[in-house]
Parts: sequence; structure tokens; C-alpha cells
Amino acid sequence: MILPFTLTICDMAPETGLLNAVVTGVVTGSIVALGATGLALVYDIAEVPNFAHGDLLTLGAYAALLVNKPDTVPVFELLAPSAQQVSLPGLGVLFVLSAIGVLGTVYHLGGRDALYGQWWGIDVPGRLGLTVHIVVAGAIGALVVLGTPSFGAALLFSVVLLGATVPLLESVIFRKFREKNIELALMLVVSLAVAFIVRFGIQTIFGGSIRFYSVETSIPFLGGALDVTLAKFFDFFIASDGLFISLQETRGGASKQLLVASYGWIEFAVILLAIIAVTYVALDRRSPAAIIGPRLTAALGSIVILAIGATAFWGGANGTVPDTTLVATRIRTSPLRIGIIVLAIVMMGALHYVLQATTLGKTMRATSDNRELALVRGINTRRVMMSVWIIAGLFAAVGGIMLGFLFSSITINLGFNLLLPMFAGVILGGISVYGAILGSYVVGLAMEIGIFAIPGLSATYRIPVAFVVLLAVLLLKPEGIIGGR
Amino acid sequence: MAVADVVVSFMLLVSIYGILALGLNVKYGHTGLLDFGHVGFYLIGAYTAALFVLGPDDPTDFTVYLIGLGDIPILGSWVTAILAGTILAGIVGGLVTLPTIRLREDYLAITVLGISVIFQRVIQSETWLANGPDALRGYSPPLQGPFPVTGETIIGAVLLGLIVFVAWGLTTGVLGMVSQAPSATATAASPSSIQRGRDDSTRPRDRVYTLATFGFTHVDAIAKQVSRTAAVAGGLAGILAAAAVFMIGITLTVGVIVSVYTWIVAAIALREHYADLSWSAITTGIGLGTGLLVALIPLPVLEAVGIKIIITVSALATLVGVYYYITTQIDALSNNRLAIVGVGSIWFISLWYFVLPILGPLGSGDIAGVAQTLFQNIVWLLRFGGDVGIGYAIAGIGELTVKVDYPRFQLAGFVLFFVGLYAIVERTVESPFGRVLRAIRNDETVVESLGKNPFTYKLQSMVIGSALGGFAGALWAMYAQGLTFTTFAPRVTFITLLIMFVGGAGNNKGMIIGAALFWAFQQATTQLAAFFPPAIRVNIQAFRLVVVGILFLIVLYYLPEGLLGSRTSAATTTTTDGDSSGPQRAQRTEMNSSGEHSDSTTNTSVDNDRIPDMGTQRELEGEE
Repeated sequence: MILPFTLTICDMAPETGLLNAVVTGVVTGSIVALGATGLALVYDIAEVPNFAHGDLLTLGAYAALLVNKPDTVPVFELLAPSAQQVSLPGLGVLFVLSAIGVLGTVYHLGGRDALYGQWWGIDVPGRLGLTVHIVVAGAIGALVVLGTPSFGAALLFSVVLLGATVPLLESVIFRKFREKNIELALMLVVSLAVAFIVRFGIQTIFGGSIRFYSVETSIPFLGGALDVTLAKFFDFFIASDGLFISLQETRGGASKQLLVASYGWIEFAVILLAIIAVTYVALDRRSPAAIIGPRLTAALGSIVILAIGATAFWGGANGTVPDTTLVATRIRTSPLRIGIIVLAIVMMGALHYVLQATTLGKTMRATSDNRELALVRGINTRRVMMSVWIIAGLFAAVGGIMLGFLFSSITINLGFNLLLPMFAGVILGGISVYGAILGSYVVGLAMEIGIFAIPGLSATYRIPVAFVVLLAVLLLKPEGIIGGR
Repeated sequence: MAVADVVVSFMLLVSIYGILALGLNVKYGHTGLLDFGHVGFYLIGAYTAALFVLGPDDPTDFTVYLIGLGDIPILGSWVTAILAGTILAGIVGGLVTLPTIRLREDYLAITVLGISVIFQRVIQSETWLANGPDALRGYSPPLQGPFPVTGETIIGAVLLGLIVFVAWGLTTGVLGMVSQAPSATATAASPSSIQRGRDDSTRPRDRVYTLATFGFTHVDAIAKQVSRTAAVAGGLAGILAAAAVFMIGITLTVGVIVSVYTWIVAAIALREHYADLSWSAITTGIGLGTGLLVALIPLPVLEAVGIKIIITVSALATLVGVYYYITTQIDALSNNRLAIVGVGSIWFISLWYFVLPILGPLGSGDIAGVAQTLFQNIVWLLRFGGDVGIGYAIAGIGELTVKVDYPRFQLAGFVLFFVGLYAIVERTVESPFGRVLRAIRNDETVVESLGKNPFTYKLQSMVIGSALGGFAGALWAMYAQGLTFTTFAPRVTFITLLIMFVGGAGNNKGMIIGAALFWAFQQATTQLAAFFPPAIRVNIQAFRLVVVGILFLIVLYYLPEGLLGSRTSAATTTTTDGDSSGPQRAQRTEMNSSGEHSDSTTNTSVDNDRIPDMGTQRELEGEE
């Protein structure tokens, strides 16, 4: 039985424990959530259990290679004379591809009329719409070209490219099958075939070797250089006089203490009271139909209070770690992982905003509830489906690139390995966007905590653990945690 | 190595996958349970069988595994191993079903997929179980000792007799089924069929049949059932062959007789199948088949990779375009789309099998070599060449050494298993139990309202299907002589699904067709891939799977019932729905082998089945 915390009496580095597993689980859950959101959207609104979604992540990861490492891409390498440098025709190709990506994405929203601005929701003269679209396409193309071969440009390129390509799956393949009114199981088989086409299409072009991004991992931060991929250790100590947090960085065996923050019990109590007060006020308000509902307000408020309190009370950076502690634990993470959590939250927040505050979101929710009724109401369900696929493509691109970056290796099975946790997350939470987000985090946490808590379980059992959790939930509630139609 | 040997080894894979697909067919085709984790039971069967026949684990070597019963006389034999693998797979199938059976169909598919991945991970990580990530080797398939066999010993003669029994019995069975099928002129309306007169009583094939069954067609007790006649005829032939080979030593003659017999029956069956096909359709098919061969010529001939890819791809594209044009623009041929493809493929395969191998010696003027190659490919039952074996000198052909090697025996065994399992599954499916299964696939509520508990039937169906998968796994263990966990990836389930849908979900006969088609494709593309430089071979192999995926989509879209249709087509002929509704609610496209129907007519008649307000969807949705 592994104790979640270790008792330290002497000044020794604490072990990673349950808290570390939780944090890693949140990171895993964030990545799964990036993929599962798109999967749930498509599953819910387009009614396609998209087995190819994992391979869409792979597609996004590989597409970024065109910008990030152009000399490793077959055929395109002819236009890249050296690593990280693309010749002028190559830049031209990238520009054209990005522009086509943007225009293609817009085209999917409604055909030629969409290019003239019909999808904006306000009346614009056709030429103005077209001009704006072309200008935006050109701007994004320019950004990609100017940024080559940086990671950001690669991300932008991949997002735009996938936004245009993924809806093609819908318009060319899935729509035809949906019009034949085939049953759900058969759609699953169709998407399985599509998955194989995508995955082995990628392998046909790129071959079987393992790739990795070349990314500048040191970024300037607070006066010094911060390497985003190096592990940082957060040590938590609970001693008799308060809570101590120490941040350390280990480079080549020598650990360097970056900062120590100490919080007395009174300061702790103040923060706690503030959080309780904010939560009570938020939950009591019950304002109708707001974008940020009461629970979200409470959560956000608590986080803000925590952040303010942490910085206000920290007592200076140069404290010392206490000698005798009651409880000590360690979290091992890196700025990259924290960045992934933040990125996932930002993207899901953006999606939440779209779903709640925009007309598009409202139409998506309506179509998800009852398609026939939405049609009766005059909603253009075809456009809704296309936008759902576009969003799924965007999320898949970001998810795939982050996954490739995180594991610093891009293989053909990159996305497929994540497919089962994604499906587990989607099914666990019930097939809806919010359910999928919740389910992904549950799956991520289950994977990491399961590996941590069960002694002797090797890391290859991550996915099986996720599935056991899924199975357990499905036994109790076959529609998933949130689902239930 | 003669082409015949290549075909024998690929037929082994066909039989294994055919059994695997039979299992999946029971689960999905008959009961409607989509099981994406079918490979998990394949894995269980394979590893159980291997662990049974392996010798006890030697702690000093690097292989580690749990049990090895190979030394124990009966327990460690292959018979027990296969049985154990099958039973365990069936039990696990049942256990897996218990928690998952109430789930929606797509949840069920994904959950069972996850379970199969769990099995794979367990094998991979638990090194004490089956050697972990390393290959599990060290056992040999049964009865490998006596081979290669020439018939000079008793054991050799008996084994040869067994092979002859299987070959002769199966061929006679096919001939019997062909002879008893209703004459093709009953349903087709094409004018050319009327031109061919039919003389019912003394058709050549009936004479062949009577001869082949040693006159048993006149014995009513045996002739009542084709299978019985075939088995008796095969048995007699086997005994005769064994005796002849042992006592007189005429191995070559026996081989020639049996092989030629199979070719004759194949020709008769083909002729029957395509009896009412117009000459124009047949010529088109032959032309397309030759065109395919021509399109592939640049691959071995040219050196430059880029150029030959471009030429071949454009030639193939032209071919597809021509086919599309012909079948849509020319009325007389548009009804026979599938048949044209069938004729073309068979022609292509004949060219590849008979003509291509003799091009080499033909080019260098070696007539004897041509004759020898042709002879070797015709007499597929025997293995030619090598040092071991009986030597013959034949006029015009030269000297040959002849023997029967182990793969042929293994093939005979596998085919026998497949036929046996096929018969069992067919009987199960035609029984009242099978009818309940089909009713469950169509509508579970109806079954409940009739007082039957769908749960038990689904459970039984999963157990049977998984057991079949386990059997296939045990056969795989026998064939591969070494197991690695990477073999049992979800890709296998995908291939099995492909085989099932191509052959016809719910149709047991289709499984062998689907498996044969898939592995023929794999074989062909492997040979083609050899003409490319090794550096891009991975890419070519990946491309092969892309093509498979695209073909799968095409089959799913245009032929959701598969090539042979949804049920065994003997009963259902040309009508659309009948009682045998497949999983599709709406469209019925192609039916059985004797004719196709154009899409438009079935489409409109079936629109009534759809939900009424769906019709307004097109009007309300904005058009792009």
C-alpha cells in the first residue's frame, strides 16, 4: 500500500504522490478533452461515431510538419533546401495552401454564397464579403509564411488546413451514407474504413519513421530563460506553522530552488473564507441564461481568489523549506504541461462561449436536441453540421500538435492510441460537449490515479484502466454520467 | 517455387480468416451485434492453443510462459489445444457479453474493442504469461514429421489418401451443388439465354458427376444429400489413392487425376454461374481483365519509380473510367456490372496463374521449360522440385521430382475444418434458434413480446461467434508457429469486418469469397510491392491499405448486402425484401448472383419505409 504522502523528518526531497498523479491526470485529461470535444460534437450533432477522429489528430500533427520541418516531408522537401528553411516556391506553396484552407473552411459553411458573406448573419454586399474573406486568407497565409518554421506558424497552418479538409469527410463520405439512412452501427464501420484511409494515407506520404517537431523550447521569462519542457518540481510541505510551497528545477542532477512561498494558517483561513463567500454569493445569484452560469462563476471566482491570495501572501521568494514537516509531497510538471491545461481550458471556454452566446451555438444546441424541430424552425442544419465538423477539425489539429509536442515523437498511431480514451471520455460523460469534457477529465484522472494506486500495474495498462472505469460507469448508468435521452 | 505453392500458402490464410469471419458473421450478420473486439477472441484461441502444446517452460532460457503441457500425451496434443482454445474463447465471449449486452450498439462495439485492447496489453505486459512482448515460439504443428511424403511408406500413403479425400470430396460436393442448382434460364430474361438450348438429361456435367461419385448417384440413400455423396465419394477416392500410391507407386498419376478433376469442376461451376451472361458482357470482362494486366506491366519492367507509378496509376484510372462508361452508357451491359467484374477478375487470375509463369521460359525458347511450368501449375496437388521425392521422366516435359509437402496437408486440414464449421453454422442458422437470432437483429421488442428473452440468445450468439474466433486463433497458432502480440491488433477486426461485408453480412458462403478476395488482393499487392525499391516499400504497403479502405467504402455504399447478398441465395431469388431483411432499413441494391437490379427502382419503392417528415428535409435544407 503506497501512502499518498510521506513523512519527512530530515531535509529530503519528497516523493511524488497522489497529488502528482492528480495533476498528471488533469494534463492527460486536457489532451483527451481536446480530442473528445470534437468527437462529441460530431457524435452528437452529425450522428457519426467518428472512429477516424484519432487519425484526424495524427493528420493535424503531420500537417504541422510541412511548416515546422519542411525538409522531412517527401515531395515537399524538394522545395526546402535545408532544415528549417523553405525556398521561395515552397513559401508560395505554403501561402497558397493556407489561403485555400481559409477559403475552403468558409466555403464549407454554405458554398459559393458563403464566400460572399452569406454566413455572417448580417446583410453585407457580396463584394465586401468576398474581399474580407480574401484579405483574411491572405493575412493568414502571410502569417504562416512569415512565421515559418516556427511552432506557432505550424500550428496556425495545421489548424487552417484541417478546418478545410475535415468537413470534406462529411460532404464526400458521411453525408452520402447518412442519406441512405443506414443504422448507427454501420456508420461506425464506415468511419472505421475512413480511419484506415486517413491513417494509411498519411503513412503512404510520410513513411513509417518517427518524427518530432523542432521547437525552440527556451523562452524568455521574467528576465531569465525558461525552458518549457524541463520538469519543475513543486514541493508542498505542511508543517506546524503553515503551508510551504517550493519550486525547484533540476538540471543534470543539480537541483536549483527557484522560489519558496510560505503561508501561515491565518492567511490560509482568510483565503478559504473569501472563497466560501464568493461561492455562496455566486450560487445565490441565479441569473437567468447567462454565459457564465452560477457554478462557473463560483469556480472562476474561487480560482481568482486563490491566485490573488497566493501572490499576496506568499511572503517573499527566498524562504527556506522547514526542517520538520507533517506532510510533504511533490508534483512533477513542466510549463508545457501547465500550458496544455491552460490551452485546453481556453479552447473549451471559447467553445462554451460560442455555444451559449452566439447564434451559431444556439443553432448547434437546437440541432443536437431535435433535428426535425430545428429544421421546422428554419435552421440550416447542413450549415450547422459543417460548422460542427470544422470545429472538430480545429480541435483535432490543436490536440494532435500538442500531443506530438508533448511526447516529442510523432508516429502513425499517435492519434489512434488516444482514440480509446477519447471514446471512453465521450461515452462516460454522455454524448454531449459538456459531458465529453467532464468524461475526458474523469478518464484522464482515472488513467493516472489508477496506475498510481494499484501496485505493480505497469504503465501500458493506462488505457485498460480507462476502459474498466468506463465499463463500471456503463454498468451503473448505461447512458453515461450526464447523458440520458 | 511454382505458382501453385504460392496459392496453397495463401489458401491457408483464406481458411483461417474464413473461420474468423464466420464467427463475426454469427455475431453481426445473424444477430446484429457489432463486435469491434473480435480479434480478442482470436488472441485467446491462439495463445491458449500455443500454451497447451508448448513443452514445459525451461527457466534457463529466455522464454517465459505460464503453462506448457506439450509433454503430456493427450492433454498436450493439438486436438486438446484447439478444443481448449475454442472453449476458452467462447467462455470469455460470454463473460464479456454479460456486462455489455445492454448497451447501445455503438457503445457495445467500442467497449468490446477496448476489451480486446486490454487482452492485447495483458499479453504485452505480463511477461510471465506468454513471454511478454517477445514472440512465443517453440512448438510445431501436428504431424509435421512424416512430411514431405511420397507415398512409399504406409503413413505417407495414408496421409496422401487423406489429402485426396478432402480434395475429391470437396470438389464432388461443389459439382453436386452445381448440378442440383435450378437451371439458370428460369430467372434471367436476357435473349441470349434462350438461344442456348438445354438438354436436361445427359448434360456432360452429370456424366462427370456420376463418374466422380463412383456411381453412387444411383444409390438413393446416399445421393439424397450432396454432402453425403461427396463425403462417400471422397472417402472412396482417398482409399483408392492411398492403396494405389502405396502398392503401385503411381503418385504422379494420382496427383494428375485429382488435380485435373478439380480444374474440370471449376470450369463447369464457372460456366454454370455465368451461363446466361451475354457474349458482349463476357468479352468486356475479358478485355478489362487483360487491360488490368497490361496496366500492371510497367511495374516490373520499368526502373524509374516515379514514372512507373504515374503510368500504372493512369492506366488503372483509364480502366476504371472505361468500366464506368461501359456500365452506365451501354444498356445491354449495365445490368451485369458485377458479373463483368467477376469475369474480368477470373480471366486476370487465369492469366496470372497459367500464362505469366510461362512467359519466362517462353521468352528464352525453352519449350520443355514451358511445358514443365504449365504441368506443375496444373497438377497443384503435388509439390515439384527439390531433392526428396519420386523421380519421373515424362516425354516432352523432362524430369520431375514429385512429393506432397506439409502445407498441402495443412491446407487439407484447414479446409476440412472450415467446411465442417460452415456446415455447423449453417445448420444452427437455419434452425429455430437462428430464426430467433435474426428476429433479434430486426427488432428486439417483437422478440420480447413473443415471450423469448433476447438476452440469452444474444449471449449464446456471442459465445458461438467467439468460440469460432478462438478456433481460428488456434489454427493461426498452428500456421504461424510463433505468436507475437502485435499480430492481434484491431486491424485484424477491420479486415474481418471487410471480409464479412464484402462477402455479405449474414451469408455464410460469402465469408469464403470475401476472405479469398481480400487475401488475393494482399498477395497481388505484395508481389507488386516487390518491384519497388525497399526504401519506399513501407509507403507502398500503407498505400495498399488505403486502397483496401476505399474499396471497403465503395462496397459499403453500393453493395451493402455484399457480393452474395444477405442470405444464402438458394431460397431468396429476385424479390427485394422478403423476410430476410438485412441490417439496412432502407435500400436494397444488388441481390444474389444471378442478376442485378438497377438502383432507381428499388430506391423509390423503399422510400415509403422512411419516416414521412424526412422527405421534407431536402426541401428545407439549403442546397450548396
